[in-house]
Amino acid sequence: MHWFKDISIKRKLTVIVMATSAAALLMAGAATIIYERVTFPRNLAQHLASLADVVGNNSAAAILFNDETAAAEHLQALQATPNITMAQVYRKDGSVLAIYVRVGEPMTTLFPAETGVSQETIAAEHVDIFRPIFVGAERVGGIGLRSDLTEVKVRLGAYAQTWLAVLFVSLLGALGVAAVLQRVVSLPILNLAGIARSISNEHDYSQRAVKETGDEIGALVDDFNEMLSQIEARDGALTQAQGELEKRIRDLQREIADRQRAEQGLAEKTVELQRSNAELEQFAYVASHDLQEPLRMITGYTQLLAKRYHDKLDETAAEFIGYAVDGAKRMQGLINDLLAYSRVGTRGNPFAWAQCDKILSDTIVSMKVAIEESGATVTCDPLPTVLCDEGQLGQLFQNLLGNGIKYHDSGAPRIHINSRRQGAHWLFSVKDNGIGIERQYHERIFTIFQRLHNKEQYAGSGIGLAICKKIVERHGGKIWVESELGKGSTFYFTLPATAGS
Amino acid sequence: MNTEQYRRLRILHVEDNIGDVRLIAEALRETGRDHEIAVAFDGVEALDYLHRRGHYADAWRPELILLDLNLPKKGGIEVLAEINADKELRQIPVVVLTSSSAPQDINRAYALNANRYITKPADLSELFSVVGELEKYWANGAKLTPRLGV
Repeated sequence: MHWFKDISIKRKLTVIVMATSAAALLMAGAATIIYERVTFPRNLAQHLASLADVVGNNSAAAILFNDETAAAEHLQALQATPNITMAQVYRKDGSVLAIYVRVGEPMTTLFPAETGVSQETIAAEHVDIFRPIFVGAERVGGIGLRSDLTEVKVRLGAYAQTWLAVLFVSLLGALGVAAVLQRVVSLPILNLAGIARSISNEHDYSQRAVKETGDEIGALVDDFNEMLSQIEARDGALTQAQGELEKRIRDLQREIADRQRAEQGLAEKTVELQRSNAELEQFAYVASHDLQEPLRMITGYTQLLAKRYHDKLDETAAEFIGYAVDGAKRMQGLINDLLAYSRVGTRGNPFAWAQCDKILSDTIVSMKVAIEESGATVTCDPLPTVLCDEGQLGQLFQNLLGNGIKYHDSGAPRIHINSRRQGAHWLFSVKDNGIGIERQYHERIFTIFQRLHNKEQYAGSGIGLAICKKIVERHGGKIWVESELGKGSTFYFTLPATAGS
Repeated sequence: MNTEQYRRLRILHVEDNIGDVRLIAEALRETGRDHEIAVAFDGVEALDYLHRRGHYADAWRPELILLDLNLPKKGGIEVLAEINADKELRQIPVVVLTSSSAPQDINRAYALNANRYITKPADLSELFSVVGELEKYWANGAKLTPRLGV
């Protein structure tokens, strides 16, 4: 049956109609033939019985007179009925009086012994009939007839031929009818299939199948169209969403590209800045280093001149030499300060977690002499652990403590160090009771080589706070001062409290 | 300390600055004793001298090397490294005398078994006293000790 599944609906419908017609015709034909085959021998038997009665009545006198010749003549009349193959007339005791045999047939006894009742035997090839013969109410003998079934076969053959002809014509008619009627079913389906194929090829969900019938196919077309509407709506929404998404992606890509350009520009500028900064620091370091050599020569040989020739020089010459040596030494000091300042950037160590308490106590120990000589009191609250360059943080404390001790006029210096958390930073304060700083100088004091006092008042080159500022800024913090003249100063600086910042 | 314990110290001074060479010579003269001083003006010359190469074939072996770090051709640290790698030259005491006070220079010099590291003082009297102390230490035969290290 596999071939049947794969053939077209048209053919399927045609095959179904043809097969149904053929089956109906076959059943009808078979029923007719079976009926004929069953009923014909019975009809034949009845016919034979009446024939036997007629011949028997004619032969009654011959039996009574035991006239074999007359009996045989009567039987001979059966020649007119060609399907009678054999006939026999019996006496009252059952013995055979006369016999008729169709030419070419073998002779046998039809009914042995005497019988008083009618008998009928329907066999596959023949039908036998026995009838008693009466004269008045007295049975005088009997007659037996045998007929073959040639007529049945002939008739069945004629039936079969007729039926085959009817079958052929009927099937032709059915084919014609099927060819027309199958369209009713197949056309809407083919139409639907065509639309479905067209949609799947063109992806045009606006197409619709035409509903032509009110049956299941019509309902299928409705459902199909409804499904198409849903798909179309969804397809539309999808296309719209896709369009929006693509637009958003394009926007994002543009934004990313813009941002990348900006970041790249920034990174380039940062690298440029870092490079020039590093170059500047390297320059400052190398320059100050190389400047020291000739200065040492000036100092050394000027001093050697004064030492070796002091007998030969007058006072003025000695004074001039003194100025020269003093100038050279001051320049040496400035260079050393520059060197120290540039080292904050070039010679710093990587950051590590360190306890500020420990750094401060170490610094205080290293400044023991200066603290004791000035009679200063240094106190501090607990300090946090921060991510820092420990050496530079120590230098920061040292410079701030040193300033607190140095810029002092009367009484013992008192310095207090405190810290508190302020958001992502620690805020440190170093408070002294020194001479204080006028408001207008609060910014300037952090600039390199800026001094507020002459050397006779307070020694120093004006590098300490500049170094403090550079150290704090390298750590990502800020430094400033709050002070009033004569009321002491509080230096504040911040350090990041978290590793990330 | 008895003056008879001192001897004529043979010094190799490796220094590119002629002014410094003269200043050190003056400082040594200030001690009042005679010294033999050989001068190498760059690192290559210093090593040629120590290995007695070329026209230094007949050079005497110094008893003290004064070594500047900032030298042409071959730096003082490289010279120090070569001295340290040679088991003969390693016996000669080396004093690094330089204008650099950078911690990494100091650390590297001591890591290469320099006997002392001195930053040249700017002040003349300081320079004279430092050189005087050096001379007194190394010229004193009883105190002459081999360099550190193996």
